[in-house]
Amino acid sequence: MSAARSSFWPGGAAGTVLRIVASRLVQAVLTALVLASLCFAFVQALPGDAALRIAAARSGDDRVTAESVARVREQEGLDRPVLAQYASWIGRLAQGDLGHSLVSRQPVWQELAEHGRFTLGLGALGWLLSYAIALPLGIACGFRPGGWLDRGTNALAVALASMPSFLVGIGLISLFALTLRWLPPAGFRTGAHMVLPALTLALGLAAFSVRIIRNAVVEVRGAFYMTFARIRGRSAGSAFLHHGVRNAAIPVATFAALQFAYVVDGFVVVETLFNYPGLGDLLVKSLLARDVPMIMGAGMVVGLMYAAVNLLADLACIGLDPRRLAGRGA
Amino acid sequence: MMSTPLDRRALLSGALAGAAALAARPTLAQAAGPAELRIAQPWEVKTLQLGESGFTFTRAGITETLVASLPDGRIAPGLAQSWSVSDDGLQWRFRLRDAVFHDGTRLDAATAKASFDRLLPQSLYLKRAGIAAVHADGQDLVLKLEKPFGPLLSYLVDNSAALLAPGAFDGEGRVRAIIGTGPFKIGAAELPRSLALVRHEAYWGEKARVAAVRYDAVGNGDTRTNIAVAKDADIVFNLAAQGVGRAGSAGMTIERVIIPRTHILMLNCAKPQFAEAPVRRALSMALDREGIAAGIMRNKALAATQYLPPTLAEWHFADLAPLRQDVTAANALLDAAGWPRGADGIRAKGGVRFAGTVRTFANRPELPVIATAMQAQLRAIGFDLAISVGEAQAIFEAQKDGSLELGLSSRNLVIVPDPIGTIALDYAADSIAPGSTGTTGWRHDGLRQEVARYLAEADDRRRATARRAIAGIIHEELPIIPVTWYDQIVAVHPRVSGFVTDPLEQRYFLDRVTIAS
Amino acid sequence: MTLALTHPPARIRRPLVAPLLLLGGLAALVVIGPLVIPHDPAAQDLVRTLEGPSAQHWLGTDHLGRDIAARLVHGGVRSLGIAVSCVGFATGVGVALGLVAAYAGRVADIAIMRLADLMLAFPGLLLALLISGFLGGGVLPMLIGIKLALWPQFARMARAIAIGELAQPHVEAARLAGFPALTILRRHVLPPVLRQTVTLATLGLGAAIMSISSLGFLGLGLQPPTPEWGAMISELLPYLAEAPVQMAAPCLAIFLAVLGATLLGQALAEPPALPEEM
Repeated sequence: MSAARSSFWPGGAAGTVLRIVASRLVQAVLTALVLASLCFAFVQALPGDAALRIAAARSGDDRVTAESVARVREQEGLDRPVLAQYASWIGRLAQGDLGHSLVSRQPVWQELAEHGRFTLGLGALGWLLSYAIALPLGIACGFRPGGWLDRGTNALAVALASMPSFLVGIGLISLFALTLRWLPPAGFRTGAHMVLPALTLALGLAAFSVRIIRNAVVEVRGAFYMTFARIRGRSAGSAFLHHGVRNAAIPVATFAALQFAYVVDGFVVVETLFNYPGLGDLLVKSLLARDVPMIMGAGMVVGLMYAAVNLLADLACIGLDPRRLAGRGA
Repeated sequence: MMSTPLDRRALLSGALAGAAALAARPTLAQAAGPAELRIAQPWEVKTLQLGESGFTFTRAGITETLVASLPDGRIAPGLAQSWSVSDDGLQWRFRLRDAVFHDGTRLDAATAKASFDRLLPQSLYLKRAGIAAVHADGQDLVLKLEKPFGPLLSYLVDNSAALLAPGAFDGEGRVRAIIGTGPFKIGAAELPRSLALVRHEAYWGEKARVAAVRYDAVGNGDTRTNIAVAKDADIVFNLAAQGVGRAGSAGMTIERVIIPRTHILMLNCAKPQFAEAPVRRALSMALDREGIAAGIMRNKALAATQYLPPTLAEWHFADLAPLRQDVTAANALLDAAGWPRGADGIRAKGGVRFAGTVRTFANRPELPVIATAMQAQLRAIGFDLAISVGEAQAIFEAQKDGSLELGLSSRNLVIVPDPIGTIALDYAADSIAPGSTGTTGWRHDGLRQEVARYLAEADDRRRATARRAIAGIIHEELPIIPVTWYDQIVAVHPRVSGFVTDPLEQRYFLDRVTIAS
Repeated sequence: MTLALTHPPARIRRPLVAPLLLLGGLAALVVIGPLVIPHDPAAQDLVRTLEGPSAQHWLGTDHLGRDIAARLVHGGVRSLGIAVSCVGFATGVGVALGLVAAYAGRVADIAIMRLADLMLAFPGLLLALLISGFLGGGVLPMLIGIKLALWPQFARMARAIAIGELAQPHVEAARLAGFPALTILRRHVLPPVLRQTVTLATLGLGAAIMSISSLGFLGLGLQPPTPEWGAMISELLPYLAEAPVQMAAPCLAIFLAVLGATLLGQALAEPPALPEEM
């Protein structure tokens, strides 16, 4: 942004991109911090005794005793003023320490790494699978809007979008695990365990993205530059390849990043259904247990992941349409 | 045409490679081998502390206690092969077995004492037995009591005070590894989801028949059903009642056993609606327990005719008049008690509406459904029930601040194998324990005397008299209304033989199980 | 000329027929249904649970012996209301803020988009859970949570498309010529933005109802006092194998509503396309 910094970076488009990346990184860290702080505030504002819920999460509802609650309160410093607790978290964070889980007593980073690894693999697989389904279908539909493929795909997309993801998952389990017995119904140990959860996620994602892709294709095919190209004598396909793809890809790339929110929600459901040890599951359980350091840590990771996905999408948009740089570079 | 600052192809291929690498990463554990017994059960192992997860380690056969309970409720020798008690009932002497811990350390009186010294103060129930001192005397462990305590042996089954090797503790006295004496030891732990167990070859008793066990936590009931239907586990515990038919037709053997757990309707007896015993009786008579048991719990035998189920033979009394639905009699009781119906069909007395909000929670998925069923049933006697589904702990908090009206919860009656442990906490204690789901705003001195008498008594005949008196008072007064009992449903793979269900759920007896190859 | 002749006015409106019939039919069911179906949606019969369709119970009974058809028609108003209010709020607020961000740029852009990012990064289910944590269980807190979770998607989508449109030469020309911002946005930016977001909105109708089911599935569900389609799905889930018809009923209802809305959205928003050469 400042003159000093712009002289520091190499000039030209690459420099602008680098500057965007740098400013986005700063923003990402800030977003993650604000998100974690919001989590803290939210959880503190919830009614009820946090120490009681932590003790119950450690031992199960039946086995909580007044002593175990008192022990949690004292050992974890939950009797301190709220601001002091927040300050100590920030203080530790400044030293690169996320603290430990109030339930398992393990370091937060360790739990996050264990669960995050599963989630990242599943998310990436699900996301890629969704585009492997949606891209060819969406483009084909966009080329023949109103055709039988378009109508069929539309009905299917609507059906998938109006069914909760757990039902889609249960349908897949019934077919592939219980009837055909090709795949295991739940678990996380082998690659075969990943197929059904990833497919569940992918179908939910594709239901939306196939329509977005189709519409983007229809939109650019009706745009004046396409008409112009057609008038110049290009065939429909060639005009689309030369002029349309870039323009159609912009809303698609934006939407791909937007689906991050869906993926995180999807994780929560899919991980529960498939007994898959990921971040979504961790986040819900931590929230119910009022495991504040865990929630804040998970909040930060989710925030950073979100920022990374968006940065990639924005860079893709810039790559597709360098005019966008002009507005930012100034 | 236009040059782009980023090579999109490189970006895409990078993303693909990354995802593939993540997807193909070596998994936490190896896939199940053929000789491995695969268990699916609902409880996650959150921590290694026995006060928190002790029940898991004992159930799985990793840790053991001085004495053990048998499936029929009798107390049998565990790590103590025999015991004796002094005439004044204050000194208990336990002769220890020749057992070896999983790390090779020998169990002797000194290691047993060391274990008790660490775990007793944080034990859940044993500390209520009033153990004043623990001594090592040769191969004997001696427990000195503050005052005579009749049910001591039942309290010694407390798995939060199971015996661990000295190497199990860290410098601060916390458990850092589970090194017990049981037929299985932990090979690898992926907390909270999975334990890989291997046979303890130096076990003092009959060695486990399977060499390895994979002990998985699967929290979601529908998922456990799917695992059972796919026969992807050898033993699935806590199968949902709705899954029984499908798991059965897939070829799994279904075992159902009524366990000592009761779904209860808690009443705040300090509220004017619930202060009088006849009114509580009328509420109880409005409930269609058989309908709830058959329709929701899928087992007609679970309709609770009294608080304690027949599984607890010593505590279940055939001469108590069974709790039954009788709407006419209930209405008559309420009319007589001076609660006339208003224009909306809801009763009221002295400006107090015959109404209340029941707090319940969804961790046990049947509870909100039962609450919905009760809503309709109570309306028939002019009671207006509102439902609030929230956290389980909210019931305790409302009990404590006096705001609770009704609660629908579930109570484990054998926190120690003798139900007196639960009854003393829930019906005869001055303060409300957070984990208990006991009486609210109710005090009965006669019951307290009987409980005190039972606790101090060693004589079997006199204990039986106290038991009947306690059960009778609870049945007459109904400070808590029993709704249904509960059954443990287990789906067992046809290749498994020798599986035993323990209604007390203290042990799963996995060491007795064999797998056909 | 030939083009106009092959597409007489009556045929241009044809795409509207199917969605209007669908939505009209659903609305009629929801409004007239309660008058036609003789059952109380809350009346229980624990003896006749999970019965299949019969003359008495057209769509069978649920796990408490309640009439599914009655619950379906009584729940319709609530479910459709939830869906429309959530998506309407999200589209309105999201598109407006997205356009402002794109047009104004600089501080407004940064402020709006960071806020959107914050909400987007926060899983919607958790937000609904947290908000119902403070406000107590009930439908209203869940609605607030779902709305808060939905609008940023529309804002980001709208902004991304608007930036592209604003960079078009003719729009820039209009800007330089000093046309008022509102005019430019309305004439040149809003139409393509709406065309793209309408898909998100119509499919989002289903997603809003689904959120209630998903919370129920996770065991975080609330017990609405009156029937609701999303809650019906999660309530019936444990009985799926025994009661497939009962489960299919609310799913089909949601499907038809979302299908109707999608077709309507497409019919209204389809951009003018060149006729295909065959």
